[in-house]
Amino acid sequence: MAQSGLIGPKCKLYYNTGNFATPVWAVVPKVSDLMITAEADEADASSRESGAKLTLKTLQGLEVTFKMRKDPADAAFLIIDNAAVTYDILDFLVLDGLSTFNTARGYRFESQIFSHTESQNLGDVLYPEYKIKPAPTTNGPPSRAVVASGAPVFTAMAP
Amino acid sequence: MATEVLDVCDRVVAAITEYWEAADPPKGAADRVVRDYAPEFSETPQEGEGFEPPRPAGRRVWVFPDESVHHGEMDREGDDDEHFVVVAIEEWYDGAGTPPRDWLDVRLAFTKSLWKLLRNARPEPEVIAGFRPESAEVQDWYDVPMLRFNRAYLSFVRLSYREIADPNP
Repeated sequence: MAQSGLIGPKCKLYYNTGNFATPVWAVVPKVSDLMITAEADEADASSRESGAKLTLKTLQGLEVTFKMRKDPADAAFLIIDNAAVTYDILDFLVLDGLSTFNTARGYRFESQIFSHTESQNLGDVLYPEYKIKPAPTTNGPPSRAVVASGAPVFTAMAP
Repeated sequence: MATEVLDVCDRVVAAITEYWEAADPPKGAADRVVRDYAPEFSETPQEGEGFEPPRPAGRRVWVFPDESVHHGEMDREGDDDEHFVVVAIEEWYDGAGTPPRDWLDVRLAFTKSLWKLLRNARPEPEVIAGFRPESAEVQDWYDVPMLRFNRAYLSFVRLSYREIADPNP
C-alpha cells in the first residue's frame, strides 16, 4: 500500500534572497527539527443567551523554532546566525514540501531571530536552535502559503 | 565515484603513515601501510602444518572495510552514516626462537598508539578529515596461534566513523 502521509525530511524552510514583492526563495538546507506553533489567544464571549461558555479567537500567534546544522560555509547559516545578534528582519517561508509542489502548505512571514540556543556537549554535532515569529513591517501581516500552479500563493492572516 | 567506507580506509592509511613517519622509531623501508581487500596474513600457512612459510620482513599494517550502517536522516540535507574499518598490525619475528617479551611489548605499544591516534576527535585539523570517530576497539591485542605457530605478532583494531552523508547514490 502506498504511503499517504507527509514526512519531515521533505519539508522546507526558505528565506527570501529577492525583495518582498518578487521573492527568490532559497532553501535553508541543513535544518533538522522544526516546529510550527500557531496558537491563538482566546477571549471569553459568553452571554446570557447561552448556557454554554463561549470563546472567540482574538490574536493569532505564530512561532517557528528550528535547529540547523552549524556550518560556517553555508550562506543560510551565516545570514540567520548573524541576524540572531542584530535586529535584522528576514523574510521566511516554511512549507511542508517544496515551494513548487502543488498542495504544499505553510506560512510566510518576516521575522527577527528571537533566540539562539546551542548545545555543545561532548559527542554533539552542533545544531543551534533559533526561534522566529512575525514582526510588524510595511509589507503587511503574515500570510498563509499554499502552493498552486507550481508557486506559493499567499493569503494574509487577517481577521 | 567515491565510496565512503573506502574513503575512510584511505584516510586511515594516510593518518597512520603520517604518524609513523614522525614516530620514534620511524617507519622503516620494509614497513608498509596499505588498504587491501585480501590481506596476506589471512592465507599464511602455519609452521605447525609441517613446513616453513615465507617470513615477510618488516611491519605490515593492513586497513580494510568491515561494515557500514545507516542510522537515519541527520537533517534535511544529509544522512547519518557510520563506517567500520579494521586495522591489522602484523610483524613476523626475524630472530631465532620465540619472540622475546620486549619485542612483543614494542609491537603491542604500536597497536595502542594507533588505537589512540585514530579515535581522537579533538585535533584540528581532524585526524580523519570529514569523519568523526565514533568507536575504537582493540579486538585482539595479539593473536595467540599466530604467535605460537608462526612466531609473529598480529593484532586487530576495529574503528568506526560517523559522517553526514549525501543521501544520493
